[in-house]
Amino acid sequence: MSEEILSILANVGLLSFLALSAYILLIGGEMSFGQQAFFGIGAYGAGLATVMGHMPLSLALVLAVLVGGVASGLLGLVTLRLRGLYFSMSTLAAAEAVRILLELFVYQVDVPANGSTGSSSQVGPAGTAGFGGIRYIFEHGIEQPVFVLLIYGLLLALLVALWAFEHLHAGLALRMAGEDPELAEALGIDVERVKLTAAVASGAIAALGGGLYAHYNTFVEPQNFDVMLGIHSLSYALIGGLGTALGPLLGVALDVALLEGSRIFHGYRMIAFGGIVALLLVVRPRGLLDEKTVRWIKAWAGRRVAAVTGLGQTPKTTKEKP
Amino acid sequence: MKRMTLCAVVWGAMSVHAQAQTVAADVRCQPANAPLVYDCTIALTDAKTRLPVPDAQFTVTADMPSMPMAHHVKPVQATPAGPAGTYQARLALEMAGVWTVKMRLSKPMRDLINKTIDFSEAQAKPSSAGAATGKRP
Repeated sequence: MSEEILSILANVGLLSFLALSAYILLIGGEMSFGQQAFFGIGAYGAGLATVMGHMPLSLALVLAVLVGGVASGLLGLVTLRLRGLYFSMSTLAAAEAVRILLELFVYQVDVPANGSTGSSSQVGPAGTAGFGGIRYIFEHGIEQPVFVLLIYGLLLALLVALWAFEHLHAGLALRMAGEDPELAEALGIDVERVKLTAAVASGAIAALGGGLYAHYNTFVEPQNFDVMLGIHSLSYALIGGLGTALGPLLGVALDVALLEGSRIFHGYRMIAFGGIVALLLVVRPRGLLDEKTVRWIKAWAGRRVAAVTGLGQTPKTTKEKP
Repeated sequence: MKRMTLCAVVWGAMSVHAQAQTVAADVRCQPANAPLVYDCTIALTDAKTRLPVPDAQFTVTADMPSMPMAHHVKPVQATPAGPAGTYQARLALEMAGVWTVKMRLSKPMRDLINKTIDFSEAQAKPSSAGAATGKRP
């Protein structure tokens, strides 16, 4: 597989974590412009864990998930009291604050150059100059295709977890809280608690993506976690659809794999992307795979399965004579 | 207790001390004869000995730091140019601005070197944000 295809696959996979983190909040009725902050926290957290803490990648990713989840939960405690645009603006402000804090974050240590003890250089976050030297995959001989497989393995596990969650009471409660919070409250759902749990999960998912990104790229800088990344994550979920967790993945695939991969629009891709978002928000406000479409697909698939297997067909009844 | 000991052993076995970048790169780019196309000259040196790294094989691509993963250019193979350890690659960018040039080495060792460069000026120079390869310039 060529390096370009591997690179596009990795980018689609990594952005999918961010899009899914925005999706969790969107089905809860909240539009966050700040998911890039947790992606950044995960990237720096996991990077620090392997570079400074000498931890294995698995533990570093677990740490990133915990830190991202806690950070998002703490922010949610404050911001989920706000509604609509006020919530969105507060998440944006918080994300910018995190980015500026990362620009001020300098913590470097000496490491031996080329594995020798003779000379040394410094690694670690260096403010605006970024955090380089996150070389775990090179130090452990992890090939690029293997790491891409790791990204997709974790993404698949996440999709299965989300599928299960959406079929549980908690998942249904989150959708109900997003669609009609007053009715959900009336039915005994603790809307605040449900949304806070969604905020924790969304932060953890974004941080996991960030941890993977830092190790795939070996270098991160505060500018990576700019508002543009947050807007894209939100747009991916809105384009792909809020009917299923596969929706955000479709949004990422449409942008990165189709527009970027084919380079149809070259430098004008952002104009095309913005146009698609605007158009879809008008004609399909809940995305391509919205709830109605997902229900139709499920019903159609159910009928096809029934037709093939012969199951689910109503047996012919003979009319009994009195 | 046994479990804790096992965890400590596994932890110790899996953890290694971080190492600095093995190869350092000096990247200079100049506009080519087409808009947003740059000819980059890359000098690779051994981070420890400072000696040139000849016979390296690597691709060069670029990513926009403000929109990572979404804006990136097609990787091109770097070719030897002039003195030992010096290579060239032509980058066709999508727009002017700050880009992180990425050099993915497959020979003499696997590595990834990142350099942040401002392409908004006529002659592209390392960005004030700095270039990071895990090693301060």
